Amino acid sequence: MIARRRVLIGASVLAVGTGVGLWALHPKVVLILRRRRFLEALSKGLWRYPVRHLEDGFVMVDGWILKSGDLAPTP
Amino acid sequence: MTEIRLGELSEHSVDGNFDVCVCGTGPAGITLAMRLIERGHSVLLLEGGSETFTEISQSIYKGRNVGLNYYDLDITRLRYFGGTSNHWAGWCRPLDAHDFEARAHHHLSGWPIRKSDLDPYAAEAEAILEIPTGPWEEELWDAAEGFRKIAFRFSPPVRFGEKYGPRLARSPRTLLILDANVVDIRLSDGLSRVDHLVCRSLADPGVAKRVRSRFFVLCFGGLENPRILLNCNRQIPAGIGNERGNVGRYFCEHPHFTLGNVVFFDEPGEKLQFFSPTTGFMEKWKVLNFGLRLRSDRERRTNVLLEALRSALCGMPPAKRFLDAARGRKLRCFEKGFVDAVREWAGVAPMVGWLRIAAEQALNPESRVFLIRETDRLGLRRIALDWRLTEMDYRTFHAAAKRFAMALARRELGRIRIVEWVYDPRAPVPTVGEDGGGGNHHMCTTRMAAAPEEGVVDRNCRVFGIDNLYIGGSSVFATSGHANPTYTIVQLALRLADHLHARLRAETQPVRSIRRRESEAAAGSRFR
Repeated sequence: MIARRRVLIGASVLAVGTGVGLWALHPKVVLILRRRRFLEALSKGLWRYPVRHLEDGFVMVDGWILKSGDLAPTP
Repeated sequence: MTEIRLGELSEHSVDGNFDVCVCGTGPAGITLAMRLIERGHSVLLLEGGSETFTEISQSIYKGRNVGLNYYDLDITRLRYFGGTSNHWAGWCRPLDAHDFEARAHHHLSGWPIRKSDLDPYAAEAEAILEIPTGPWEEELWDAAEGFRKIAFRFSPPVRFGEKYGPRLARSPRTLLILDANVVDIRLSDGLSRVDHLVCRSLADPGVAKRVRSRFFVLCFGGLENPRILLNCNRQIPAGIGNERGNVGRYFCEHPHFTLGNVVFFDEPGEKLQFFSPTTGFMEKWKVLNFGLRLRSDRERRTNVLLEALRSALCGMPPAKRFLDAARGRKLRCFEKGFVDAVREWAGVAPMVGWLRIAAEQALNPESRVFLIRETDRLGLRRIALDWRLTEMDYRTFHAAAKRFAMALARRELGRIRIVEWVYDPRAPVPTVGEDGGGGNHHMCTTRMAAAPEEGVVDRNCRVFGIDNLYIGGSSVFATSGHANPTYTIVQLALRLADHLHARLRAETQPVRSIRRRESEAAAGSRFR
């Protein structure tokens, strides 16, 4: 877990430092995490994208097909 | 089997009273020849190339792509003994039963035969292709969405020339002529029968030989079968079998594309899994058949520094555009990034992967092969391929990606990020060489149909209106399904051989029975 946090911090610092911005790295950053942490990170990284509501309680954000509960607050 | 090159023939014509002349030595031609020989028939086998690859033969396949970006036409197939099996990858799966059925939302769909007509040839096809036995359908994976888990099986792969050449060589009633390039099909009897073929040698194109047989079968492949029919236009201006303009039309590939990147929550049991829709799925969303390939990808190792550079460039569009222009090709931004590479290095890599599709293609008369003015060394006009996808094809990609992503999420197995062009029609579709393309499968260009208005060959692969001319190979597919075509090609060739065997037997039986009656009468007269 400590190693994962270090990787996350390191990646974020690099992103900011190079001016790339978290938005560019978010699809990669979120892959670090699993389950809840993955989904939390996803919701934070994707806040700037429009949420497209799909049927059956799903949404699509920047191409990600997510369950409504994946994003907080629940749309 | 006697093997000879066309130029070595001393006679002006080949008239050995052969039962069947098989043109082409790919999986269709060789399977057909082997089966006919087993049934006791004499076979004349024509191959335009040599025993091995030659540039001069391969150059006959050059043509133009004028539709969707596609493989060069002299790259996507091979022209020597064994045909395209010489670079076949070995993927095998039969068509699904519903591929043969007419579907209301897919115009012209449906074959004049059913899967049960090909099933009797399954075991023999699997033996010829040397594939292991096992189930094709594994389970109904997601009943809510309508996805089946399916299986592919793999041939070693069999190179038909290498593998079955020796078996053909043991047959005393077979003649193989290499460098025998069919340049014309001459008709007789009111244009209802093939009288003879005209063949030329690439070594000496000035030399023409006539080839006679009782039946003729064209097994040149999905691009070359329509080409020869269209080129043979001296007696029928539109080309043989093309009175209704169907030859070359309805060209189908299996569009292959990456649909999305996957994050798995748990390690999947298998590295590569296959899924396909149920008939209910296709009817509900009005889409075509397809095969999804879900691959997990943990063990790929990446260069950390290169991925850092890639991530930086992908995040800076102006720099990326400059680099793309300088390199002449696009930098792939869906590859594993710097963070992933670091994560791998740190040993905390999650399970990621990709979702790809190989789909059935919608029948579209404008997706076609046609002749262009440029001619080859033999004087035959070359072809242009205008490969086109329709709105239904894109609807299929979209429904497959979205609904499968939902099924995966609902089962808490992971999440999928769909590639942009699938959900945003404004985004450019990747072309061959970037991400997508075809499977080097050329189908439906002389499609099988119940009536000549809708196709080129009948349910027995006979060209409508020509009594003794047949076509083998994937050009006769009425629809493409999503399965790789070689398995079905072999099944169809075995079935065609049985049909020809029945016709040959029917033609000879009356003669034999008359002779028998004559001999019995003669014997009786001796006793009287």
